[in-house]
Amino acid sequence: MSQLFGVIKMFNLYLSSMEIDKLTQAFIETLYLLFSSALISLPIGTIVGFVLALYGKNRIYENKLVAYFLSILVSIVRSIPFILLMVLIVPFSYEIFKTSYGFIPSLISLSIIGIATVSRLVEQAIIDLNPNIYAVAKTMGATKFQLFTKFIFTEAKASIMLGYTSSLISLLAYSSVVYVIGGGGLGHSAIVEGYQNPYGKEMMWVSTIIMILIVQVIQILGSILANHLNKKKRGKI
Amino acid sequence: MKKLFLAVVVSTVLLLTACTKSDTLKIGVDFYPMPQIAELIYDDLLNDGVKLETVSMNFNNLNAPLNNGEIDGNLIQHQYFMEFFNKANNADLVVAQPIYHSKFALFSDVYQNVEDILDGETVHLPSDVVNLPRALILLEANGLITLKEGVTKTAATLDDIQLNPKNLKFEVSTINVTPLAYRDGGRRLAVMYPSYILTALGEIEETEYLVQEELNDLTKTYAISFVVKASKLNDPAIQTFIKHLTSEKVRNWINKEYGWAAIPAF
Repeated sequence: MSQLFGVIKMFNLYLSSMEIDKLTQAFIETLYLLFSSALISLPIGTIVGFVLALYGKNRIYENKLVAYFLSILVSIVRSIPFILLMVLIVPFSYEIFKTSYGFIPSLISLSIIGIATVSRLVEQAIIDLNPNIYAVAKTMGATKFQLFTKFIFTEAKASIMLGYTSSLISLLAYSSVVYVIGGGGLGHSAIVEGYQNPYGKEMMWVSTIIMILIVQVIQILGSILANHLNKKKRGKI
Repeated sequence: MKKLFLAVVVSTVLLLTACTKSDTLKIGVDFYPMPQIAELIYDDLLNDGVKLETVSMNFNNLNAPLNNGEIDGNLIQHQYFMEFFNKANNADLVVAQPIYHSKFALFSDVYQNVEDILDGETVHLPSDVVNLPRALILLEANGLITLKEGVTKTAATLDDIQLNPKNLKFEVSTINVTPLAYRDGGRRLAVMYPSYILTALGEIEETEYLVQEELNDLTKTYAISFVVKASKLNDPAIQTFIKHLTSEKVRNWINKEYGWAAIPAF
């Protein structure tokens, strides 16, 4: 305990009550951004990932036009520097939602990058499946929908869960720069109120520590869930 | 799940549109000390019936919402940055009130006098189109270089240097990298803002200010200012804000807390 106190002293991590309020606010903003963007990007990204994995070249439902189009689109989104992507979103956000800063444009840019990240990880999880399940599904007379939900999704669940975990952590990292367009969050408290403020080193360190804790929690929960799904799949539960 | 998602999106949109309709004064801020100054005058403004709401984001993106009318003013820029935006976007932003002059200076940990600077010394300069001319103006004012006649000084480049009696070498870099280049070169010579040096290097010595920019009609135009849309300049709430922004309280605060980097411009 005294050692911990020493560390706190070393980094001078004493916060005033106003700074604690700001940090709490930033923490809530980050969680809000993270969960709302996940709510959009996980389902859509999963669908895109299915298409990428099942409609590509030499896959079961070959439809090169759709698969290549989506694949190129996903790659383009992932190659645009994220800060630039956010700034490019701003005029669209103003046209559609009449707001060019804050939560809405941040949510849109995070969702777009989230969909791209999730889709690649889901694609990878599905491609790694044993190709025999397609034949099995066919002999059992499964419909397309049943094949997707009862066979592929069930089989790939554990690795998809790990993909989701890693996407969520990416989203958290991306969410730390949305302060550039007024999205706030822990990135704002760490960089603007922390790093760029001559008296803000405490804010910088504490915000960073909170980010580390969030990542740890997401990773641990994701791993536990994936393990659980894996065991369930192998009938050990 | 879908319904829940839809509900979340719809409610946020409604919430946001509801926010923009209230009659508070929304002011864009970014870097230290503007958020702190806004906080300082928050209560005084409230007493005069103006509720201040700060919108904190990167200064590069703060002029668009101002021009769109989503915010009422911002505290992030000087005249030249504003003019670039006006020209590029056909906007009509105006300086409503200068707030402070940064102590833009030639820094050195090696020299005590400008005359002592050796031949062929390297000077680190910021590279952007506003701060490089400002640095050249400072060097010219101290007799280290002479710019060509007829050049618009606030848009000068390295090619506009006519005379360089000490054969100084100039190394330009992005403004937040210049302090690092200065340190890596042994803290010999750099034209910089003290705030950038402190942010990048974590410390700044009183003795490092070799010469400071002298305040005159030209350099005064670089004051960091309160900028609004031309049509809103005479809005009573804006005028109340200016009144409190230029109060003794703010002046004393700037001198006390930010005196190492700026002097009040009112």
